[in-house]
Amino acid sequence: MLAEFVHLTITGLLIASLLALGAVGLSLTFGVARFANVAHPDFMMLGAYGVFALNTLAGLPFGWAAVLGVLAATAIAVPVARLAYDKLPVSGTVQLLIISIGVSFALRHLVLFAFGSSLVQYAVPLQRPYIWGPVRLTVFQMLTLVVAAVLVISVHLLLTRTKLGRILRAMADNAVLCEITGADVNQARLAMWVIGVGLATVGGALYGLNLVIHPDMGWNLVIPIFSAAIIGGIGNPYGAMGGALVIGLVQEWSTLIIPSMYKEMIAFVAMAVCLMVRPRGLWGK
Amino acid sequence: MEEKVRMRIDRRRFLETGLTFGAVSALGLGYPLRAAAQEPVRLGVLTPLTGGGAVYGTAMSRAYVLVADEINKAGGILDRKIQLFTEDDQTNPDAGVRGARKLVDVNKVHAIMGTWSSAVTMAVAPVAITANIPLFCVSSSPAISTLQDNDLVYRTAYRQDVISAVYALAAQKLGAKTAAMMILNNPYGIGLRDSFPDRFAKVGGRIVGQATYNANQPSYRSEIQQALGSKPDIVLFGGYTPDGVQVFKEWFQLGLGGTWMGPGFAFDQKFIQAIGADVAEGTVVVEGATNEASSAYKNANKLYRAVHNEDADFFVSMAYDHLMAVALAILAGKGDTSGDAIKANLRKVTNPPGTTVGTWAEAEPLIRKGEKVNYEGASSAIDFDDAGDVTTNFGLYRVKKGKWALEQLMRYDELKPLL
Amino acid sequence: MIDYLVAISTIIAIQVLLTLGLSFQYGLTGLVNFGHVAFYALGAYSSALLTLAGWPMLAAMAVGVMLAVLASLLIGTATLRLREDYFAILTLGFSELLRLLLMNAREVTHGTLGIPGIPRPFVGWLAVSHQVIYLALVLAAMALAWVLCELLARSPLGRTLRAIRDDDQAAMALGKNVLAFRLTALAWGAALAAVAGSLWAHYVTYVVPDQFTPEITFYTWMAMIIGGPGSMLGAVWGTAALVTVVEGTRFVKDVLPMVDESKLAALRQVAIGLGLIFLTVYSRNPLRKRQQK
Repeated sequence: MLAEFVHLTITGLLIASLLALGAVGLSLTFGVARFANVAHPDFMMLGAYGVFALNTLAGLPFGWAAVLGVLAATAIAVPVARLAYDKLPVSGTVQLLIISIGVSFALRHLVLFAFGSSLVQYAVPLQRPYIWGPVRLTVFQMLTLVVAAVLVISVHLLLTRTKLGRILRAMADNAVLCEITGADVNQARLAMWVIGVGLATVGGALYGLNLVIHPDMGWNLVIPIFSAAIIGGIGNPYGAMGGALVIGLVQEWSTLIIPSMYKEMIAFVAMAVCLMVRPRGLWGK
Repeated sequence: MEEKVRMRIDRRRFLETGLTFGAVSALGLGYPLRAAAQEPVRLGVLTPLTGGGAVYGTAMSRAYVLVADEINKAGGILDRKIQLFTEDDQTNPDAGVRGARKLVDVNKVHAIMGTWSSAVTMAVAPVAITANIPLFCVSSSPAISTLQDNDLVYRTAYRQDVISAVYALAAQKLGAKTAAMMILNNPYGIGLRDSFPDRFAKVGGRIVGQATYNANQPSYRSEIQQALGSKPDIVLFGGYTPDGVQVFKEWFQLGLGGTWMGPGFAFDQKFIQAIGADVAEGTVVVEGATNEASSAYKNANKLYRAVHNEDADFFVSMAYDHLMAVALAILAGKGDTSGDAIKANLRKVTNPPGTTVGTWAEAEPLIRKGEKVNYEGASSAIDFDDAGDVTTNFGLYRVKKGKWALEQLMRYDELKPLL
Repeated sequence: MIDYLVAISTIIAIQVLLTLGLSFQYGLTGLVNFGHVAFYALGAYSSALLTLAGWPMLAAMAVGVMLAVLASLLIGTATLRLREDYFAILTLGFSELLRLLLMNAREVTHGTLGIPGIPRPFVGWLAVSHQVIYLALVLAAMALAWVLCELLARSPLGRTLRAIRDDDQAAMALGKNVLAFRLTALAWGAALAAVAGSLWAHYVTYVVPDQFTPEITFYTWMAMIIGGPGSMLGAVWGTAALVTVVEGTRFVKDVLPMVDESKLAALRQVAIGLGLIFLTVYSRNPLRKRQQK
């Protein structure tokens, strides 16, 4: 029984680290730009395909492919986000939400068009796990946990210790006031996208390392990632990581009680309960 | 006034000509317009090009084009060219119905081929039945056999309940006494989950673990650990290639032992390539046995490899068989493309007795002479029973050095006590 | 060709019911409902299960409507006081939750196998083809719904809803029970969706959870945006335009030589996504007044 619990916890942590990279970026952009970007998990998908293209198709060694792939995906996704969300003559969170649905549709099917529907993966051999009692982890999986933690901490430091971070937090609080103080809001917004999208693409790259890659891999994570970000409190990256941990762990632990086919409902139910009882999230201001 | 009418007629004629030319060149047939003096044989392909079944539908749609091309190059069916109309069912019953309506009402096809998802097949069947045209699918739900279909719905895939008897027999032959199941939550997987335990019990086996998973989960670690927890002799995999690849990757990276058994369409060459020969080593594969030796398969493989550089898999083979069966039935009916005629002639060309044939080149001259043939297909013997299903012998294969090696043949008669 | 047009018209008419409901919810009242397909599913499944058990069609439809209304009231009461985008995400999640339930509650819903053989009403009446009779039935339902929506929109109820949409604080200050009005709008839209679901079930004679994905909700949003949110006439012609264009692309590939069917299919979906963006930018925003504050 204990062994089972440990297994579920490890799986929960792995899923949480993937969700965290998506949720932290989402929390940031949702908080600062003030709208729900349902295409955010699709940026993760772009990261995975970027690495795939360089590694499997172009033949670069994985290390290079990972770095360049993430950079390339970010370089493509940020202008898309800027164009769709910052430059179009729309106002209002609902319209931006609808636009983000259009962006998601378009991105997913463009990737389908370009890369086909076959499952793809990196040209990286599978690894055997290290085993300590009931704990079984491969090097890549450990890497995933570490990278996720490091990046989230870095984002937190950026938000609390740098000027850019201060501006971003001010924008999340009150965008109008922030502009009046003379802060370069436009540049900060660009930085926001770069950070948010960058985290997502790294998350996608790691996802592809552990699992198979397909155009809908991001879309399938919309509910869990939004759930994690909302539970953590929009605008709070640590909160988003906490939310991801909650979702990842609770979903896996739940299979001790309910059949595993239902576990995907947990994320939704958690999010619903959170919004009804404490809309600002567990760690929101 | 007359001027306008004439212009309108001319413009319409121009449009029709343009459309026909476009359609013909779209099929890459390259025949000049005038050659289609006789009405073409219009066949509809309704298959998933997007959505969950896209991998299978795309391969199938390519196969249909290749076979139609081959037949047309040989002169067509009694000098009538085959014209294919393809619609994407999006692996979605809604879209499937709309696609079917267009094929039936606008393109006026004589047959529909290619639905993959059982849900889509079930939704599209009424459309075909009302229009009195045959529907050929690759779905596996048992419910399709019992449809009130006026003998219009045919399938070339096996039913879940039959295949679970095959697995039980295979497990017995491998000496496995305990088994676990790793099941995809869809009609095919659930059907397997429901029928395998009984069958396995009949050969003295016991189920010691099972896990059901949904497609597109971010991880299957928990389910894998659940299924393999009690160290079963064998693990039955009831899913498809995409989830199969992910399951195997995670299983391997968990370092758990165990032997997997699954269907050929999941553990195909693409799968073995994706996870690597060493990970796949020793995996048991159960698949139709007449497959590789038939001239049909050899031909299908040759055609497919030439253009797409890949072996013809199970789905490509079934698509080949659909079109061949329809074309041969129409030929045997002396060119009668009505639903009634195709129905009447289908089993005459696909079932024994008769000279064994597998390609158009082999079959066409014989049928023209009025001789009886028995089409042996690329995916199975293609002998349709009363419900429109096929029965087949099965092979028990093991993956050895990245390829399937036949270990044992399992005849259909051996399965009967288990059914 | 006629048969095809009859089929497309039937599909359009059923879809119009969905669009009318959504337009009432979002266009008039400002409710950002992204779970519309859930009400559609409730109507479809109720009709399927009950008519197969021998119930008459209208009674089964009525049950579906009641379930949808009940569901809308439950969700609404729990979540309407939240921000619009949270409400949107929750309704989306709810429709997915319902779909998962439909997939897994096999004893009741047959799960992923679906429910085939749903009886069709009026089979054998008159010498006319059944397709045409059904189209007449569906058109009648659509016309009735349209008229009712127009009347409601022009009534005091409609005025109140629009006032709430534009400035709920002011409406509250005037003593209006904002929640009750919003719930009414939500429930009315849900009821229309349930009727649409029921008509769909009897048309296709088969229901399965796969049919009830968020894509249907997004499709409905597109139709509404094309015709202009809040305009009931717009709901009708917007739906017709959308279905015509989407179905029209099927004919494009009969004319253009294409390398690969699947690639064209993917491009079609890309076009739908871009179309949605374009339409959102260039159409009226019903929440404009509220968001300007």
